[in-house]
Amino acid sequence: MHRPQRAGVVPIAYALFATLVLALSAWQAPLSRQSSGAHWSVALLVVAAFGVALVLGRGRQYETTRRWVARNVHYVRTWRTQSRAAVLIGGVVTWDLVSFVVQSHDLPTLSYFIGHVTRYAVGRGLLFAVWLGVGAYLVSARRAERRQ
Amino acid sequence: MMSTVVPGTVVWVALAAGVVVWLGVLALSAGRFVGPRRVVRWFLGSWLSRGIVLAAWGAAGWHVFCQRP
Repeated sequence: MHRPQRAGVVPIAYALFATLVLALSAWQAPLSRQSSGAHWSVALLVVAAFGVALVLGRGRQYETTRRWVARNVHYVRTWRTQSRAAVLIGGVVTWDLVSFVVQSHDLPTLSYFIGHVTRYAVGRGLLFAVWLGVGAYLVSARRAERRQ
Repeated sequence: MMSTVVPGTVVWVALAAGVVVWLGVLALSAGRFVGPRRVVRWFLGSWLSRGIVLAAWGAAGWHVFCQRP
């Protein structure tokens, strides 16, 4: 019964969110990584993301944590069926960790390359917008229908 | 100005090439293999896994926008 009303609200919510992302990214772009503005904004956004995830996801997770862990123990045992993806993701994570631990000029980390983008205001702003978009997806995506 | 290519960069280039090949195979395989979207959605299946992936997102943001790079 409330569907038509809801259908009108969703595009407005997306438009408001996109405006917020653009405004925050434009404001964030010229900041230095040592500035208190950068620190406070990122910290507050992370806290807000967890808060919104709790509100939006209450009673709407697909599985209980126990069931998710049990299913994935089985998945890990049969990991060979998806070995290509596992090797690639594991390779990226492991190599980044190794490079980070060794701290050598010969082994740059992923964040070293990202630093070549974020040193410019435009790159920092664009990457911040991407980061916000990814966060919004992680907060709101894959929610089940609310349980009665 | 010439910049030398260090060994670590070669490994990153190889990994990036692997990711490109992976995405190419995914595009041609019509959902038969696991892609990044399925991996992320797998992490969003429960509170624990969603919390872990959100914490990783927050840590990445702090590192990229407030720390070293």
